Amino acid sequence: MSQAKLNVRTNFLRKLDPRVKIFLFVAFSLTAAVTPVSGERRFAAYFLFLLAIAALSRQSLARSIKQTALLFPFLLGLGLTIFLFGRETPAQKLNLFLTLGIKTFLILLALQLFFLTTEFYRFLKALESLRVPSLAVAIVSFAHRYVFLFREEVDRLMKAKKSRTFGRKKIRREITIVSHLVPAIATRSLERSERIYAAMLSRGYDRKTIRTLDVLKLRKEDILVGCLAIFLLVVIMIVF
Amino acid sequence: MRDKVLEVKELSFTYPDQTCALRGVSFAVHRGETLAIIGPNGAGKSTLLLHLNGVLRGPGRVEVLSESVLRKSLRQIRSKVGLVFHDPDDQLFMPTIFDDVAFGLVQQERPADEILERVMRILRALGLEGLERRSAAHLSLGEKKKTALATVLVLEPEILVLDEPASGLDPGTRRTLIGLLKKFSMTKIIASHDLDLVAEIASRVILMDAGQLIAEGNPEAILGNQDLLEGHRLEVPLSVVLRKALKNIPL
Repeated sequence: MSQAKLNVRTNFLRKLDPRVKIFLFVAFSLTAAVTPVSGERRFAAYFLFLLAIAALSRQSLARSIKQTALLFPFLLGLGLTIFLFGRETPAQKLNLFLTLGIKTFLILLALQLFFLTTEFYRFLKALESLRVPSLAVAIVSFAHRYVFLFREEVDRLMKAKKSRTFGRKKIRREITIVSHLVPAIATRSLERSERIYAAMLSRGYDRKTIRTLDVLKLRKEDILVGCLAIFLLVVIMIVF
Repeated sequence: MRDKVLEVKELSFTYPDQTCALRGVSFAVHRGETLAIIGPNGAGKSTLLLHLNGVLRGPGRVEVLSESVLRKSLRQIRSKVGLVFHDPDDQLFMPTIFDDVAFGLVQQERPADEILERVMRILRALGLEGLERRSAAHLSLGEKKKTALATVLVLEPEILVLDEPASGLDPGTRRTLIGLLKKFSMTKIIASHDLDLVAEIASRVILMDAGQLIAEGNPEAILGNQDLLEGHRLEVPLSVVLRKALKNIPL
């Protein structure tokens, strides 16, 4: 089996150097963030831009939109603060809320596309090669591992809870049970994370560098795609 | 006399919650032998194993191939002592089985071609070929145990340390594992409650309880001593009982 077969990257966005993707994500986020309140057409163009990238990389944008929609309650919370504070008229506040919502939505969508098409270890490698301090990279790496670990522990405890839950659910009882489960989940996750860390240490992890088999090499195609994407973003900014 | 590959002298360890796990443990392991560490739950077996490649360090001395386990020698020690954890889920943390098995070699900064060749060789040897792109989360316990073993064997350690290697396995998988362990020629240290497994593969046995070394000797002497084992919440394994019974039958 060849190295290439083990590292299958099936489309252009997956193949793209993660450093270029990070650069493009930052550029996209900045351009979206500085778009004025009245920039509806520009927002539409940004959305089409993301749609085109998703289509080219054979990713379902509908799924990403659904996942991003999970964050809408937080956006509503943000909206509440806009409506409660400030001296603007209600119409201006509504406009501001919608603009902020659209910007956040677009940036989160871009972030989803980024992580759907980038292996996490290549992302870490990219951070390292962009001279992000190794401590910060290690923190990101562990945070990523522990999110999944935490989710596994939640699944295990919820199964244990369900297997011993009988009769009709009462909200107060459920709240009491969950309040007992949360510290148990935290303790178990912490203990397991310590065991995993011990396993990493025992196989030579030196607490400093994250090493992977991948060697990032900037290709001509990466530079070309990066320049083209930046050009498109500039065109959108100028034309709309 | 074969040369010593590992020596533990007066090793003690207390966890931050003040649980004393090891109290002045001393023993030596010789090249090529299979040492089994037995004892009830909480005897300190797993804690002791974690000291053998420096994951934990307590007062006392651990020497691997005549080199003390110190911070500066950890990298070298860990390449010589391969530790397989009790729960394979703790050992398999990478996105794919290939990445997990390659992890140690990548940390050693081996060339990519060598890593690929060694990983595929060990996966083939353990019957895990074809699973390299899969996530460990989707494997059976037997496959997980074998993968955890592969993550260590790929490093070609001189000393293989296994914590409860057969726990939770079905008889068939357990038998396969015992067969594999018998094939390996390197020095092995195995902590286990499975005394039938110990009787089958160990060349020497250490009994631990409450962080102390209680007894040390050949498998027949330790595993055949009913009072000693029952005094430390263990039982004489069925295989030893049967062997004794067969000896007493006049043929």
